[in-house]
Amino acid sequence: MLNSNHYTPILKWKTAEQGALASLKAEDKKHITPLVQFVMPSQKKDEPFQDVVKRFKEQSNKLPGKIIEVWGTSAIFLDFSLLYDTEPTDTTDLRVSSIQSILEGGNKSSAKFIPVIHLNDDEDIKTVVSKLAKEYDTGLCLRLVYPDFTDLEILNKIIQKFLTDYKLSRDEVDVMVDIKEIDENRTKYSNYFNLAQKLEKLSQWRSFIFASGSFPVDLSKCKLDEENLLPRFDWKNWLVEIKNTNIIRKPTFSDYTIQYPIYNQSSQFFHPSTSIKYTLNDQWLIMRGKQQQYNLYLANAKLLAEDSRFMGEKFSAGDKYISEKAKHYDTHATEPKKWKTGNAKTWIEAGISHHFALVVNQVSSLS
Amino acid sequence: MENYLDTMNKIKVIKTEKDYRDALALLETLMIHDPDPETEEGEQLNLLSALIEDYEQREFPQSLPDPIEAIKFRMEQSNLKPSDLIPYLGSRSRVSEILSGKRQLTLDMVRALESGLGIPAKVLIQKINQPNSQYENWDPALVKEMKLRGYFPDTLQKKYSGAELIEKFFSTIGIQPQVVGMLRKTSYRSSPLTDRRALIAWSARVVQKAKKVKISTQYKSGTMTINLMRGLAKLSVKDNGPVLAQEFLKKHGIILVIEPHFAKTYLDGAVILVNKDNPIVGLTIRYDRLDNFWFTLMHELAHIALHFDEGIDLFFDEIEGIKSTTLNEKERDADQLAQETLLPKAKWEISPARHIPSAMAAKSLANELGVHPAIIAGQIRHKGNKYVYLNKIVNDTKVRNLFSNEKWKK
Repeated sequence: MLNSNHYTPILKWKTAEQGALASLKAEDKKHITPLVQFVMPSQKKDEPFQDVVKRFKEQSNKLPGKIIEVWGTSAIFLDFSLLYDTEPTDTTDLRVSSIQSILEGGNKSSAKFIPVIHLNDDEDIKTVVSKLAKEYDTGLCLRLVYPDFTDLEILNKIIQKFLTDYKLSRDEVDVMVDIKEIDENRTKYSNYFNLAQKLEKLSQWRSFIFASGSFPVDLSKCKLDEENLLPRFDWKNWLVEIKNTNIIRKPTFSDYTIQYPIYNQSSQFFHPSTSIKYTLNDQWLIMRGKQQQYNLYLANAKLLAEDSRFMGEKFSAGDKYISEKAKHYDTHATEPKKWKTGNAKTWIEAGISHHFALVVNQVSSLS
Repeated sequence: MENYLDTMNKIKVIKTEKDYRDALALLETLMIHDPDPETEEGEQLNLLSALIEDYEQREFPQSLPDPIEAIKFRMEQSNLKPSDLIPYLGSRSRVSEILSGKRQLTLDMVRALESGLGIPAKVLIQKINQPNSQYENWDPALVKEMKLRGYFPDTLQKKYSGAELIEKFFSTIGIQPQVVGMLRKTSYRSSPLTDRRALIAWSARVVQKAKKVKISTQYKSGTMTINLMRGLAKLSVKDNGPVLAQEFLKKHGIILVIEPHFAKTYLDGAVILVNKDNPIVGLTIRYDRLDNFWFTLMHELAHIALHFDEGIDLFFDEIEGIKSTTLNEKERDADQLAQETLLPKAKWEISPARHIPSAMAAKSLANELGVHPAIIAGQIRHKGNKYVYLNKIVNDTKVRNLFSNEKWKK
């Protein structure tokens, strides 16, 4: 059972995120249960989408091993809802087959792979997930999204029917309420936080997780050559709400780290700017770079490492990376040809790694 | 500049004194950016100058410039020595007599000067002012500004004419109005718009204020070094750094005087070497920004460090005789030393601020160097020639409020 001193980051199953998970320190790892969303592989130029699906299927039998390599056998939530094929029935087939093969692989290695299910998932998916959750004794995670809360009474009935239909009890289920993107307007967060408290028999669920994300969709609001501080509304709002003495159950904090909550497959074709995203206590420090100007990574790393807000190279693997890049800049400041700048993947990995450590610190120190 | 278009939209025909003051302020803003005359911005500058001149001719009718002033101005413009005037005026001693006002120009001399140097005869045929009447031709707008700023005691203002007041002002200070100095302006260093008499009045006021400062230390040549200047620059991190700088310099025999500039001096600062024992640094704080204060101060101190010994011999008698090329070299050297003091080249070349002109970069570098971030921000703006950068950091900390006794323009 997860409590409010625990943290559930929502991640996509990509190399940067995998690197960040793999480099977690043991003492931080015990406070984290990540939710990983599988995504379709990047489509190559002129590649038919069928080939993309084929590639995913081919590699899916290696996924259990890869997950264990990155994360070990500790509990991890696995969400298949971002997998898709060209036809709806094919999408269901793809998700069902992936759930089966990955959960089976995890079970064989005694890993605790907890499947994630959504209320609007196809019956076939619900059937296989609930069956395997019982069979492998992992339980499952029911991920509710904010449109599910349009009518709370109906929602409670639907949930009850789901539990009854699939012979599940609440103590086998982790319930996650995910309200996706939020901004400076506190109303959305507060409304859904309070609605979530009205879920029937809230204390009986195995875990109760409340997720949101306030990292922007892009950095267009961040100015070049200026220090940009973006508020972490997800964290700030959560802190406010959990102090409310009337709440029935404190949820586990969950966010989207340094990523926008809504996944856009097409964004993979954009060249990201060479920006550093560094999480502070209640803000993100964005050191915006320019597209493909990789040297700015190094100069920004040097600035960050010297800044009083830098948490030190021992704070996380990401901080160590930043510190190393700053030292590299010191050594080769006047020799740009020798610069090893890192790339978008390594810098996202560093940013997520740092974010993990910081949030773990934050949640674990709460009374 | 924040926005050229905004500035250009403000250019209009000058009808009132307020319009005139606004136009002068706008002119300053445009001049900071030293636009190429061929560009739209340069044309706007010319237009604004013409509008100001037109207003001044209407509102402050002036008599023609003094013939000697006109000859000296042309000498400076054409980089001429007194001996170069011999073909127009006769012997070396004749040149000396004319330039000192002891002898009137003859008709032949007027013709020669008009055809040879292009000085209009109508200027030259005026009677040459004797030394005691050299205050007659001062710009009435300047005299008015001097009155408003308390250069003349209230008790005298109703009693005496402008010329008499100016004469008394200079005689009280005990100096002639050819103050020795090396003048620095951020741009248009030899702007034809600068009123030389305003500069003289300003310098005299600085000397007057300096004379009231009790100082027991004598400045020793060679004291002012880059290390001492760097030590001084570290005071910039203190809230009252500029005041502390005043005290610091006093201990080394240098008097720092703050005197706001005139509407038409476009001046940031000067070093005045009237008294060799105690050099005077005068600052106008024309731009109420910390970076401007410290850079100008360092520039003036650089003059003392670099040119103190040669300066006395070269400048004492006749500041207006300095060749412009010589002045430029000295200005450039002083700029370089000031820059090297505040932001050493070796540090700059390895700083991330070279790649990222951000506030964070400025603060980091400032922290490393032990100076105020506004100073580094000012240097980053200057090096990148981008004056829109780091506006907040350079404008956040003001200086004038530390010198609240001065009459600052609102």
